[in-house]
Amino acid sequence: MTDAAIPVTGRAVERFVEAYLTSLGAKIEKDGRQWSVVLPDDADTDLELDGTVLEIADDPTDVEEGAVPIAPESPFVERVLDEAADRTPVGSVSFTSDGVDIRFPPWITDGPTDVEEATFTPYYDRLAVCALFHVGIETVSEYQREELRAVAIDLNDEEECPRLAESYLDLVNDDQRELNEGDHIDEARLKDALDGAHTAVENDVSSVVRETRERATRAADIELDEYRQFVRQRRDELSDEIENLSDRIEEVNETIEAASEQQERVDGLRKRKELQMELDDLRSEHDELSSQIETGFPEKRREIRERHALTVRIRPVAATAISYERGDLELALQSNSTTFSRTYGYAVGGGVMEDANCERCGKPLTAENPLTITGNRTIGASCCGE
Amino acid sequence: MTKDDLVDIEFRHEDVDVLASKPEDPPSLEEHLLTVQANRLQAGQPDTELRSLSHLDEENVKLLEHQVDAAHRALFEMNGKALLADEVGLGKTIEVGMILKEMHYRGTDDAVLILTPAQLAQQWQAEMLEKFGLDFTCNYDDDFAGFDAQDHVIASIDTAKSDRHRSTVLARDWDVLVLDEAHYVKNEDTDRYELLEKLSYDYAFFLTATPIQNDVTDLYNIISLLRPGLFGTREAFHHYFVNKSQETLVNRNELQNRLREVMIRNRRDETDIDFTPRNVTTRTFEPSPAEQDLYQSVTDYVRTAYGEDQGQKLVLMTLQKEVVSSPEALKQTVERQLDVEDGKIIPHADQLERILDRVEAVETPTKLESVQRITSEARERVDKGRVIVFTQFRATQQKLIETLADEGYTTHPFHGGHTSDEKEEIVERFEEEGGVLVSTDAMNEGRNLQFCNVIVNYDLPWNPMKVEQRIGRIHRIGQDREVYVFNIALEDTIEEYVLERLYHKIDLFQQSVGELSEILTRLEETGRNFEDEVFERLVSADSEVEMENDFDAMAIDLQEQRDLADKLEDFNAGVFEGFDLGASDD
Repeated sequence: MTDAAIPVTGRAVERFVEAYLTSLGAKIEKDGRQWSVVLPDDADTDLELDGTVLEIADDPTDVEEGAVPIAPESPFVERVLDEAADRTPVGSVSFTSDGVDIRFPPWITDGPTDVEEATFTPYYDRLAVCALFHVGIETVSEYQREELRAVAIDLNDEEECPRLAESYLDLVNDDQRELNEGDHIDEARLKDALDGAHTAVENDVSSVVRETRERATRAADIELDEYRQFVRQRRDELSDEIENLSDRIEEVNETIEAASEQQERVDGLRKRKELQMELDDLRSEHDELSSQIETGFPEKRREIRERHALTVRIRPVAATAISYERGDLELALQSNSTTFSRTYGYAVGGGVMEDANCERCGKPLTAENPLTITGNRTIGASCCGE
Repeated sequence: MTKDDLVDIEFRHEDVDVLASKPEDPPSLEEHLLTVQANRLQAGQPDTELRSLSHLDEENVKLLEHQVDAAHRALFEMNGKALLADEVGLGKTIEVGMILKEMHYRGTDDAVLILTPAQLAQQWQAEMLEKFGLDFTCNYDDDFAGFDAQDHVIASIDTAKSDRHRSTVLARDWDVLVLDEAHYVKNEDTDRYELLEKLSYDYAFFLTATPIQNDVTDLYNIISLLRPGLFGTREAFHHYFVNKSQETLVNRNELQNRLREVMIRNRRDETDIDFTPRNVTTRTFEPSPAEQDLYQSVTDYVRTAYGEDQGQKLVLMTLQKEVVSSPEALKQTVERQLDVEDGKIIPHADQLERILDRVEAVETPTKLESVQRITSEARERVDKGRVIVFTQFRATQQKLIETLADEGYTTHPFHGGHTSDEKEEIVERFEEEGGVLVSTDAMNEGRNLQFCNVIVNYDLPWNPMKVEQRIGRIHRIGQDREVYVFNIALEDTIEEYVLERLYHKIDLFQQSVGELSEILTRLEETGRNFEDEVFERLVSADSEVEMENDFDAMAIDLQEQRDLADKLEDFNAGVFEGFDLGASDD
């Protein structure tokens, strides 16, 4: 699964605002870093731009008077992004070998073998859905974590296609590339695909959730531990205070016993009553703390559990149906002055779709064990290379 | 109780139906892709570029890649709470400067507190101002009015924790806390640790090259101040990461994973810092008989006067420094001592008068002749004959300027009395015209003087940090030639002792500021100050032999501090060896 977020640089924001305003039919007149913008009357937007001057700024507070800054985090840019983010969440695109460059696997590009020629022959079209999910993980002891994850699911075999998702993100971010619309899919198929993608996202974030939970648990444990220490200390203090108070009551008792005057006796009785009440309060507090210790602090645990609870939100924000070609990729490979030809199952945007193995020992070819050629066989450079 | 009892997980799934039911008409691809991109931008970090970088003056500060990377990670990947633990000499102060500059740019620095060891506070103040344009008040400033009177404060940690200031320091909510040499706050049972624990702050940056001083508990204590809970309880930390004998680490990978969330450590051999060689020559000369007499009479006076009134220490120290700088510098101070209101009795006036007589007896100071040999050699061998001559005193500077000008040199005086525009012009003229720039120690960090590669220490500050700062004006990143440092001293004077016994013992002239500050801070931690130590030895020795022995003892002590600092550096390098705390693996 792929992180779909892109850095919010000044340049990225500027490009986006221009593209969005143009899509609304805006007329933009540029003068250096200042743009004068007029929107058509019937533009479907809540933005009000009628001759408004927008200014590209490094610092949103540093623009000419009356100009609206275009800068990361500037209020205008936030509004544009908010509006555009909800506007057209579902769409379709087509990946064909004419429009998308061939991607070679790392077990070729990271090794000693050169690709002299590559020929893709499409045999059939496939359909996939690439969905973007907003994932929020939140707990009290950590900063909220917000992510955007992309997951592509092939509609035929319902398998996840990570490389297709990567290609999709690269291609939509490349404003020099013309993309074509693909086949649209009906609501039921889209829903099935999104359900599958949703499960994939949940599985994918499980390790992050587990780590976050471990950290949150440590923080919660410390909190409970500190509380436990505090309660024990308080109980010990109370024991001492109870003992002192009992001694004092005993002393007052002796005073009452020995009193010769009525007033002295009454004062003593009053004092004893007062101390006895105080003693009862302390005992009650002591008993309450002892009970907490014996039962393992259930109330405090509930309170901590409530505060440290981990919430994971997963929300789909956009889905694109991708029509893509599958077929054979014939590669003319050259290594050690030997040229050799091999054919692999290939998907446009998805890359080589089959696992390749060393033809001598059967070990998988990877970036660490890349392909090389010996005699008439393709072998792993690490496992069986010279 | 299982370990996870206290944290429940709740998954909230928002219905996919809402999205699936959206398409009524086939939407346009262009509009759809804009929605996709808008969501991606919303999810992106809110501009994690260091926007203030373009506002820094490259003349004042040369940023290195590892420093920019560290500042970026501390701010954006560690949520503004980080332990900057680069090895010594890689510019942790610069990293913090960049962080603070960026926070200033983004308006999140309303109240900033930088806590440092005492002897580094003013250096921090100067660096922040000169390299980053950040104006801090220091607790050593004359107009320092307390921690609640200013919003940007640099202070020694011991001042902050003192009874006088503690309550005001703790009463504020600081936006940013910077703690230099954080390993001195490693012990949880100290007032310093308690202060840090109680301070209220949103962002914190701790600096140390040696997070571990004794055992890995130090690391626990420091990190717990930054990120409480990262390592769990102290017991849990010990149980999980330290073997019973406390000599080795266990579960290193897990420790590394957790440390990576909060600690950045760049290693010297992974950075592109490359200094040219430094060539240091000390020239000692036999003083003339008149100079010998003068030196002896000043030293005698200083000893007598200090024995009777220690309150005069600063003036007496100055006299002792001036006598080896120039008769002119000495003369001014002695005359001031004698110039008091009528009727007031001046202690040892006769001795002071005698000193004045002996000042007059010195015809041509030996040092003045020797400096000309260096400038003359430079005139022949160095581009435009550029040499910087440093002195601590304006009167000496004046004399040097007069003498060198008479000898036909192009001269440029540089001192603290100039405005910053004037200083700028002087440096530009020096670069263009060449010749000799005679500067007091007002020549500060920010000045870019890499175009010159020869300096002369006409007299020597007793504070080694100042010596290094002088050399640092030309021996810095960007200097592409070998640097020549000439020290001039007179035989059998305090300067010779300081030079030979002390500075050479700690290899001062080859140390970086970072290495030096570590040695000096260690000295400070034992309650001592370098300059005071030197002075005390000078005035308290009963004989020449005793003084030599005393200075030898101090040298050995310094050597020990240096060895300890080196050992700790090696120890930390060993502990963190194999730890990839540089760039994130993600």
